[in-house]
Amino acid sequence: MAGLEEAIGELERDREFLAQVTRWQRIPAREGTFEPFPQSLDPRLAGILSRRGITRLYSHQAECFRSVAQGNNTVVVTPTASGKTLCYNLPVLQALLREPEARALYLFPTKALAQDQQSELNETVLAGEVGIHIATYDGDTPGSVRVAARDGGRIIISNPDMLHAGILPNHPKWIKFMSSLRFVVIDEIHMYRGVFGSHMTNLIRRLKRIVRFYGSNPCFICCSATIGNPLELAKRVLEEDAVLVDRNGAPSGEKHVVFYNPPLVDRVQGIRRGVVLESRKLAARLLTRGVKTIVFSRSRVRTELIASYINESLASVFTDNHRIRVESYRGGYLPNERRAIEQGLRSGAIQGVVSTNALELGIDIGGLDASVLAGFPGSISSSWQQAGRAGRRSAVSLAILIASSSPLDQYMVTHPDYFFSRSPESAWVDPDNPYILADHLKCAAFELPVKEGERLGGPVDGVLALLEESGVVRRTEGAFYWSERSYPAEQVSLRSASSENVVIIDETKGRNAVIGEMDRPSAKELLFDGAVYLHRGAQFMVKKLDLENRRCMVEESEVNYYTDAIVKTDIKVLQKDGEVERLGIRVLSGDVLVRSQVAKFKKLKFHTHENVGYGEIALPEEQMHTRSVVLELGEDTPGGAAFALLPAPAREEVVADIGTLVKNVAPLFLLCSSSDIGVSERLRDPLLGVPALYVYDRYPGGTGLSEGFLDRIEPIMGAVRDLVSACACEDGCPSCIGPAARDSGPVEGRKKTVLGFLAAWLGAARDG
Amino acid sequence: MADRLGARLEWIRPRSREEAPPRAETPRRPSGIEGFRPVGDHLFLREETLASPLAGLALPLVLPGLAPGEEASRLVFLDTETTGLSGGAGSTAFLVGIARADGERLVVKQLFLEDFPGERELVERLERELSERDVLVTFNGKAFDVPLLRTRFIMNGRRFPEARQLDLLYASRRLWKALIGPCSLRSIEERVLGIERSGDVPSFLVPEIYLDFLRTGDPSGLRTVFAHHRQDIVSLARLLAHMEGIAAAAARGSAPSGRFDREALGRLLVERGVESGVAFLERAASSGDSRAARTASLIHKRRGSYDRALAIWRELWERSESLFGGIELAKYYEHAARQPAEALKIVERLCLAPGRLASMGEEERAGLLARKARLERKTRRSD
Ligand SMILES: [Zn+2]
Repeated sequence: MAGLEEAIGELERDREFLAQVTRWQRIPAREGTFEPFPQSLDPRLAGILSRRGITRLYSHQAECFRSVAQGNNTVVVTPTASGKTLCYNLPVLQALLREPEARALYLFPTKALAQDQQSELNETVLAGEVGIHIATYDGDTPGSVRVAARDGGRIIISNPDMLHAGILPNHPKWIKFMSSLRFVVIDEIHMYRGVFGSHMTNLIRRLKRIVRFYGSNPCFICCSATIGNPLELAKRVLEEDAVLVDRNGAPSGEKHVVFYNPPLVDRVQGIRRGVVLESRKLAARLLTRGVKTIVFSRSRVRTELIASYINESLASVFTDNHRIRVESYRGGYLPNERRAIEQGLRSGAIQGVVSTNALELGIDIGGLDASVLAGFPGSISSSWQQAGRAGRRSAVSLAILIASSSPLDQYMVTHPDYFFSRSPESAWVDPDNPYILADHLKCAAFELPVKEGERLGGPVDGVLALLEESGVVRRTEGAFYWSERSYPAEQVSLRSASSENVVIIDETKGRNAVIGEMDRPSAKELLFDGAVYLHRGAQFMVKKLDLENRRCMVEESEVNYYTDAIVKTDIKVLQKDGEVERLGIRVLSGDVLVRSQVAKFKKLKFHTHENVGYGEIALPEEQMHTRSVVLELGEDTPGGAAFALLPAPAREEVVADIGTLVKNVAPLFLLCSSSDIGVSERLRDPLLGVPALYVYDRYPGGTGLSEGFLDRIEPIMGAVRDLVSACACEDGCPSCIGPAARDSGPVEGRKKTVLGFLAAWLGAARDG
Repeated sequence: MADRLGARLEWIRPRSREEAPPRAETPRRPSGIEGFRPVGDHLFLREETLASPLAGLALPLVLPGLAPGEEASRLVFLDTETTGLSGGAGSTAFLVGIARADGERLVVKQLFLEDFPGERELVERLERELSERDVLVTFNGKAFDVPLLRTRFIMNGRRFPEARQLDLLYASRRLWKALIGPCSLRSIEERVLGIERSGDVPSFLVPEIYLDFLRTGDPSGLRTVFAHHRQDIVSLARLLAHMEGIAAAAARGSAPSGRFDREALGRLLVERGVESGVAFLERAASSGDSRAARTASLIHKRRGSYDRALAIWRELWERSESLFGGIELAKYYEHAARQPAEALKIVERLCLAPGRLASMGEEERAGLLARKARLERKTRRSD
């Protein structure tokens, strides 16, 4: 630990380093808040805890225990290292000890987490000693163990995919379990957002329906990372009331959080020194001073890259790598490889690790001293989880965020207050996405005939009638029966990754190797015939995009240009939910049909972005029904009036720039990625007759993002303005409104124009 | 939400429309077909009395699941046709056949679910027809029919009468797999029982035919399904009779007719405590069935009858220098008779036989060489 304090002191005196630091936040150590064991706590549990040296509880653990004991659905917010597992294990084990028939279901978002949890429960927590049968039930569970797990498991540890495709469709085999299900624990509930969350809500609807059939009514316990709306999210996923426990009683050591913006190398183009090199430098510096360090990177490729760079910088024949071992860790490794690294980290045999967010979630790797975030992980809550990987309970720790030149990173690093003062990001779901709902209704009908008038979340007779029309259910005598030979859960994936992905195949010199995949709409925009495709630093030319067979053949190439598809997006409002005056403009929300067509592409020279030609694209139009908000800039509103004051030639550019900014900034408030949001601007919308900006959900049917956008529109637009005004570039760069190379040639004073408009609009909104 | 969803539903419509089959509103009453009569609002029954294939057999002889002295009338031949083959709560049995032997007669009942809401009636009817004292005779019923029915009972809030099960698949595999490959009821009918089906419907089409009937109300496609199903049940009874028949012949000491794995039958008999099974194995052995010989010798060895085991091993060894016979002899000389030199002679012969070592498995070869080395040590010591 002396190593870390020394290293911190050194950094504090390093002027060159400090010059790039936009914030050095010292979060003082905090005492824990404790409570004695609850009076009602079963003496067996109290005994086991005492033998493990636990003689009291953190206040939030005790609060959670009380809340569950009163029968409340309970949501507990649990930062890293706050004793999360006791929050649910204590009340559950208490009840399971008192009621010999009672059972519990633990759901973890991934299989790896679930398996980790079982070993924790078995080895380090309590259940081994109290004789409660705990069983993991997932795709890896051997058939021979399954029957015993179903019939005898008091706590079943599983994941949503298994509940969806394995357990619920076979619920009669689970009769004992379902009849006596008392608790459902949903860990990492903040992971259930967007598509996954919309599926999860429907899955919970199905689960409740089945347990009702067997006469039980379980209590839900949810754990969430720190997000803006844990209670709201839990209520949406559970569709029941719940009690929030969010006063963390765990102690923590002093924490240094440092925001570091790499130096500019080209002020005009806004280019900064790269995250990879900067994080290598910092990590190596920490490691050689004996500081156990974790580096989080945003992609698998970068993880490998940074790890090898660090090892390179440490490599020295004389010092035997300073006896420092650095490993990389990411998805795609074999389970035993991962276990070995985790074990090495816990035991101290490994001093450094470079990881994707795979290590962000609950997997136990013991305490590290420092974490280096190579790029903003995309959300504040992830940042805190990653930063939380450093810091043992009462020791000093260090977290350094290194910003990339992406707009989001630049916003964050230049507005550290935003990061430290609150937790604004909220998670959204839309369980009534008709595609998702219809899929789950099929599964529900398979599981148990659906009575007319029965609700799944809300009334569903309409969807059932459609399913009846297509012949998959049969309506007779007041109920809808599954009338297909298939097993519907098999055809429904809970994860956003769709089976529609296009596989990219490298055919250079007969290689025939799969080098990647891409979703279908993106493939149309990036992998059209003749497109230049860049992959891990190599350059390929697309020979043939075969949408029907979902493959794309590419070949290495060495042309001096890249390609940019010209996407024509046409959006039609199908159904208006409502129109409200917000922020000095009118905002419409509703259902839209997005039709996009790529018919042409530009060839742009590398570096200069000079247009050196066009090409034709022959691809069918893409159609998508989804949810959208429309920002209307009608002249009768203050915002619209400000827009009308812009010189006519600048208007198109301004509305496009604002679209770019919104797409880049909104993810910060909606816990999504910028590819989840589509933006399309109209100088004069044919339907509305005014300039308009459409912000739509890029998942068919919508996942709650447009609702979330409307909810957070003020802070989002505020952040848009702050991002441009704080950007260090001269007149637009990739970190703000994008580089200035447009077809029409650079427009002078772009940034000033955009800023001027935003100031006028938002100022008018504030005053009005 | 209802309103919003109403409009949004249109989005999913085009996707489903292309799959939409024609719908019929006509009421479906298959009462006119093939001798079925209604026994509930949606439940139909066809009952037939046939000559029992079990008549004259003294049951049971060979099949596990039957207790000694079990009456044939406790046997219930059971088979189901379902709406799906992948299992799960959404697969329903729409046709359940149960047959009971009654002296000279076999009474076959087929219960047909004419529409989903009748399942309750079906389940209640089965509850009356079946008893926990029965023995359910099925083909693959342990894995398929019985769990499926158990599920259907649970779905209707009832408990399936947990009778003992006699799944003929397992014994069939033992008796015939080596001869005919994968054992389906169909392949056994053809190649063992000599039953030929004409105009039969393949099993995988059955769900679709029933679901079509529900959609269109036209029962004509079901005719072949009913016939197919009836034959399945009758075949079950014939298969059991056939198995018991060859077992009885084997036990009597006469030569059963037909093709089957003699070693497997002998072993089945011995497992069931039929002593003459050993003699049957020995007869098979002396007619050149080396697997039967091996099994018989191991039974003797286990029982401590070394004389009889030795006789077989010697025979195997002398006739063909069989590896099994040689090794068992060597073991006997080394451990029981304490004549390591004799044992070594055999082991050396085994090792010298051209190509023998090369043709052996890794482990087997290592075992043999280790044995040889040990015997060489022992013989040197005793010199
Ligand atoms: Zn900029």
